[in-house]
Amino acid sequence: MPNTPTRERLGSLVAELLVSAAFVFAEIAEEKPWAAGGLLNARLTLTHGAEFELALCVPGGLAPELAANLLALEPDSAEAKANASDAVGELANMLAGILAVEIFGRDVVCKIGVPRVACETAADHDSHFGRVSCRVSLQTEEGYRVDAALAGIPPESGGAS
Amino acid sequence: MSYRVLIVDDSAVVRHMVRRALSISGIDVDPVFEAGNGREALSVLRGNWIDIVFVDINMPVMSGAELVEVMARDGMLTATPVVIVSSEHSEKRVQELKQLGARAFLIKPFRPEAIRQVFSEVLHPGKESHNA
Repeated sequence: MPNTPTRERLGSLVAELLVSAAFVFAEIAEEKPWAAGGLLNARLTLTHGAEFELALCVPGGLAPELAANLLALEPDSAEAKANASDAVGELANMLAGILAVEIFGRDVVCKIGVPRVACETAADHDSHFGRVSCRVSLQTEEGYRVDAALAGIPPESGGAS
Repeated sequence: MSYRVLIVDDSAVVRHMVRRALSISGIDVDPVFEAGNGREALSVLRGNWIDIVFVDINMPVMSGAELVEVMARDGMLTATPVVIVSSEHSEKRVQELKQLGARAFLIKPFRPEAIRQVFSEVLHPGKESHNA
């Protein structure tokens, strides 16, 4: 049976990933309003019998910093900005690998989908995020909000859109 | 001596991460080839001498597992060591890919020390890495 993580566990895994991969310190926090500007939301599926959709959402202002830290670049560099979207997708991919073991166990091969990264408004994100039971918000040291959500996909829906 | 390296991943960020980690770890690599999927990698492998290949698992067109299988069946490529670079932690997956011919694994995120350790283990088995 799949083992869906608690909010605290999901938040802990996201925080560990952010610090180990991108040197960004974050803690679980209340869901506060987003700062002005767009969001980057990376989604991918995890499948082993049951299917889940993982979403990792960060503010557009944080994404170049994540790319810069992943790639050892200057945050203001054109290269960091160019790789911002891909960096968020890659962090979601790393998180999916960690969650696959958490949900399905270490002894099974879980199919992890290719990350799809899209720009979203805060309103669009919040309307979807608020409906997911396994979700967590974190706040970075610099005050950026980072959201992660793990939603079960009903078999009849035919997968994520 | 410079090592000729091929990095295979559909994500430019990951290709860049591996390239940077190799550079930071102090390993002398030149040239470093890149490919976005297994099919592109085969094209590079059949046209160039490569000392070691770093491969993602999940890629479009041809996956890392398919690439490892093809290389294992190809007499010219079967001895070229392959290191899987992936976010997957499944023990079963590791064993499957080792049976197909993968020599080592790097779980993302990884530190430059880890890539140096893998490099040493794969290309100089039996020798300790003094910097690992």
